[in-house]
Amino acid sequence: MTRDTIQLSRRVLIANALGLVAVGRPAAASTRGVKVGRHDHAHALEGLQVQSSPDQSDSSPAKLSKPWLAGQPRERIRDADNDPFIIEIERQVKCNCGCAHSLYACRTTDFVCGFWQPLHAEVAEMANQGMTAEEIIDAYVAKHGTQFLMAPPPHGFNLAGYLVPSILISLVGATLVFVLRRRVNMTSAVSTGSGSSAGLSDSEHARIVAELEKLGS
Amino acid sequence: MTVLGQLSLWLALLIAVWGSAVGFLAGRTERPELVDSARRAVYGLAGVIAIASVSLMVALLNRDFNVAYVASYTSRDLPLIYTISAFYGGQNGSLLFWALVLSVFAAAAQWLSAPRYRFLMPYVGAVTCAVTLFFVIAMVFAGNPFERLPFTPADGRGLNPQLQNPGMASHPPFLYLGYISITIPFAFAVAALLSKRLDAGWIHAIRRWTLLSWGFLSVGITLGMWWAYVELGWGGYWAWDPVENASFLPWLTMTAFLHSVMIQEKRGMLKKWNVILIVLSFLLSIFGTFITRSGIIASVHSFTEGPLGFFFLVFLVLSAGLLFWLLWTRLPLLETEAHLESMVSREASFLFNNLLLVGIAFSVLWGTMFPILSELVQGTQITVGPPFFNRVNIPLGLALLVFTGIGPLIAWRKASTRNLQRHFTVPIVSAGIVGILLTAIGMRQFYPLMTWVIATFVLAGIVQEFGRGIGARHRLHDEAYLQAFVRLIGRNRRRYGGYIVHVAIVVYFLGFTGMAFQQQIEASLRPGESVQVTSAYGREYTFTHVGVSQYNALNREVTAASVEVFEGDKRLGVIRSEKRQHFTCPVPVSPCPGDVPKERSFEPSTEAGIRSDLRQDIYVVFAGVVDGTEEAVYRFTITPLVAWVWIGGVILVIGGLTVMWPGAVHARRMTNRPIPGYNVKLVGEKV
Repeated sequence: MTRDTIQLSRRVLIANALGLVAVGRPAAASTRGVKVGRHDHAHALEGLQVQSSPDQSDSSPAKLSKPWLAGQPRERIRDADNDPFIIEIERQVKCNCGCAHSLYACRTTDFVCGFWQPLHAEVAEMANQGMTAEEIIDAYVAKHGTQFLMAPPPHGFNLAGYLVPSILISLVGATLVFVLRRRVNMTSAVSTGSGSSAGLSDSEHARIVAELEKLGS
Repeated sequence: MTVLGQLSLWLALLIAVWGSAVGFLAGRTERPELVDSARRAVYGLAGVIAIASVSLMVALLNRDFNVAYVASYTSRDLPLIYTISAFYGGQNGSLLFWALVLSVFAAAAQWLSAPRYRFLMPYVGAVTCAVTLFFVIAMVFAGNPFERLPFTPADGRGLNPQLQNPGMASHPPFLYLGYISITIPFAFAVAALLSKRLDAGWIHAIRRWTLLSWGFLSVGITLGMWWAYVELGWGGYWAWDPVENASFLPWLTMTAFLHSVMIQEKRGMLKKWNVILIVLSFLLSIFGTFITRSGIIASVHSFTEGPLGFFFLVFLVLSAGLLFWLLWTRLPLLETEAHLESMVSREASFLFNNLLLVGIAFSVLWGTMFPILSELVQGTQITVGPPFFNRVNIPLGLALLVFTGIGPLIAWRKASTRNLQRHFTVPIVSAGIVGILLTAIGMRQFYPLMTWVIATFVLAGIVQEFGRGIGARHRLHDEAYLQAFVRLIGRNRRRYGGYIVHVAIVVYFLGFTGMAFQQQIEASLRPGESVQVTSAYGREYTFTHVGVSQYNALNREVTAASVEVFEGDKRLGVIRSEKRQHFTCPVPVSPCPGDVPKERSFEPSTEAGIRSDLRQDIYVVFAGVVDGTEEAVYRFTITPLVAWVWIGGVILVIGGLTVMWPGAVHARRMTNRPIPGYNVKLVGEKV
C-alpha cells in the first residue's frame, strides 16, 4: 500500500465517520438519497431521475428576455455532476476562483467564477478513464500544486500541522494531571497533619461541604 | 458635516493621547485632579467620536458621493437599513464604529464602576484611551472615512449585494460589540496588574462586562452563521474560514475564563491563569481584526485595502510585548490561596474544560496560521480547509461536551462516591439508552452518534438538576411546579442561567450533526419537469420546476426561478430562488428613470430559497439557465436539524440574559457597596 493510498484510506475512514459518502466507485450509478434510474427524456441524466409530465413540460423552453441577468450561462447537468465518486474527490481538492472553497463547493456555489468548469471537466474525464480516486487526486495535485488540496497531505512538515495540536494538548493534559496529583497529595498530607478536619466525622464533613456549596452557589 | 467629522477625529486623537497619559499618571500618583481629568478625558473622547460618527452617518444618509467612503458603499437606491449598515460595511467606517463603541463602553465603565473601583479607574481609563487612540491613529493616517474625492460621481457604487441582507445588518455590529467590549475586562485586568491590587476586586468588576462581551460574540457568531447560510448559497453555515476562525478564537478563551473565574471566586485559585485568559482574549480580538484587515490569509470576508494590516500588526506586537512584561513582573503577586483537594472535583473538571477550550483555540489558530508557517518553512503554499479542522476539532469538541455534562454535576473540592452515584447514574443510563436506540434504528456514523449520546448525558444531568431544585422548592415552600421553576431560576440566576447556556450548547451540537446527513443534488429542469430526492428520514421530496421570471425591484433586476415541492403526495408549496443583478444610475435622480440605461455595480448574486422546519431545511439554489432559456439549473439540498442551530442561539441569549440580569434591589445594594479595603481613607489622603 503506497503512502498516498494510506492517506486516501484515512480520508475514506474519516469521511465515513463523519457521515460523508465514501470515496469509491459506486456499485451502481447512484447518489445517496436521490432516486436513480435511466429514462428516456432527451436530456436525461444517467444518475438522476428527471420526470416530465407530457401536459406540462415544454419541449422547447421559452427564451428569457435578458438571459445575461441570470448569471454565467450554464450547461445541462450531466451524470458526472452528481456522481458521488467525483463529488467526494472534488471535496478534497480546491478550485482556483480565489476563494477557500473546495472544487465541489465552488462549482455548486460560486456562480460568478468560471474557472471551476475546466477543473471539474478534468476530474470527470479522469474518472471516466477509470482512474482510481487517489490517482485522480495525485494527477490533479501534480498538475496544479499541493495548495490545490483542501488539507495538506499528512507527511513531511505537514505532519506537524496535524500532530502538534493533539500532542501539545496531550502533553499539557498529562503535565496537568501529574502536577495536580502531586498537589492533591501534598494538600491531603498537610490537611491530615494540621488536623483541620481530623476531628470531624464523615457525616459532619459532608454536611459542612454541602452547606458551603449551598452558600457558594 | 464631514469637516466637523474630520476635526472631531483630530480632536479625538489629542484627547486620547491626553487620556492615556494622564490616566497612567493618575493611577500612579492617585492625585485627585488627575483622576478627574482622566475620567473627563474618557467622557470627552466618547463625545467627539460620537460627533465624528454622526457626521459620517449624515453624509451616508445625504448620499454625499463626494465623500469617497459614501460613494464606495452606498448608492441612491440603496434601502435605508443598508445605508445605515454601510456605516460599518466598509473598512474605514468599521474603524470609526469600533472607536465609537469602545469609547462609549469606556465611558459606561467609568460611569458604572467608578464609585466602587476608584483606585482602578484611572488605569482603566488610560488603557481604554490607549486602545481608542490606536483606532483613531489608524483612521487619521491610514483609513480616513471622511476623505473626499476630486469629483462628485452621479451615483455611488452601492453596497455589496451579499451585505444587503438582514443578517449582515446585524451580524457585524454584534461581532464588533463582542470584540470591542473585551477591552473593558482587559482594561480592568491591566489596571489590577499596574496598581498591584490583585485581590478579587477586579474580578467582581468585570463579571458582567465579560458576560456581555461573551454574549455579544456568541450572538455575532450565530448571526454570521445564519447570514452565511441564507446568503452565500452553499448550504452550510460554517466553513472554517480564517475570518470565522478569528471570531471563534476569543469566544473560546472567554468561555474558558467564564468557567475558570468561578474557581478564583470560590477558592482563590487560578489567579494567574485568569489574567492570562483575559489578556489572551483581548490579543485574539485584535488578531482577528488584523487577519480581516491585512489579507495575509485568503478569506471570503476580508478587507484588504491599504496599509492597515501593518498598523494592526505593530499594535499587536507592541501590546503583546508590554503585556508579557507586565504579567511577568506581577506573577509573584498572583499566588494561589488554596490548592486542589481532589482530582475528582468540580475544580479539576473546570481545569480540564479550560485545557480543552484553550486547546481548541490553539488548534484553530494553528490551522489558520499553518499556511503561512508552511510557506516560511517549506516555501510551498498549502491550503488548510474544513477537512483539517474537522479532523482535529471534532474529537476535541466532543470531549468538551462531555465536560459540559460533568462540570455542573460534580461536587466542589472533593466528590464522594455517593455524590458521583447520586448525580451521574441517571445521565449515564439515559445516554446509554439513547445510544442503543439510535444504533438500533440504523445510525452508524460515529461522530453524530457520539454527539447524540453525549448530548443526552448533558441534558439529562441538567434536567435532573432542575428537577431536584423544583422538587425541593415544591416540598419546602409548597409552590406549584411552574412557580417553583421560575423562582428557582430567579433565586440563583447565575447557576441556572449557566445551565440554560449549557442546554443551548447541546442544541447547537445536535444541530451540527444534521450536516452529516445532508443530501445534495444538482439538476437542470425544463418547466414541468421534476426531480426526486429522499431525505435522511427516508421521505421522498419531488421538486417540479415551475418557470423563470424576470422583473425590476428597487435597486436590482431579478431573475427568479420557482419550484413546486411535494413531500410524498403532500404539496408543501413553492420555493423561489433568485439571481439579483444590482445596478447604479448614471443620472443623479432617485428613483432611476426607466429609460436610462443602468450600469451594473456588481456581479449577479444568488438568493437561496429555503423552507425550514424543526426536522430539516429544504434549500434550493438557482444556479443559472441553459442556453438563455427557462431551462433552469438547480441545486437541491436537504439538511436535517438546521433550525436547531438557530434555536440554540436563541436559548443561549435567554441563558446569557438570565445570568446577567440585575438582581433584586437588595442584591444591587450589596453589589454597589464598596469593597472593604477600597474605601479606607488614608491619613492625609485628599480623596
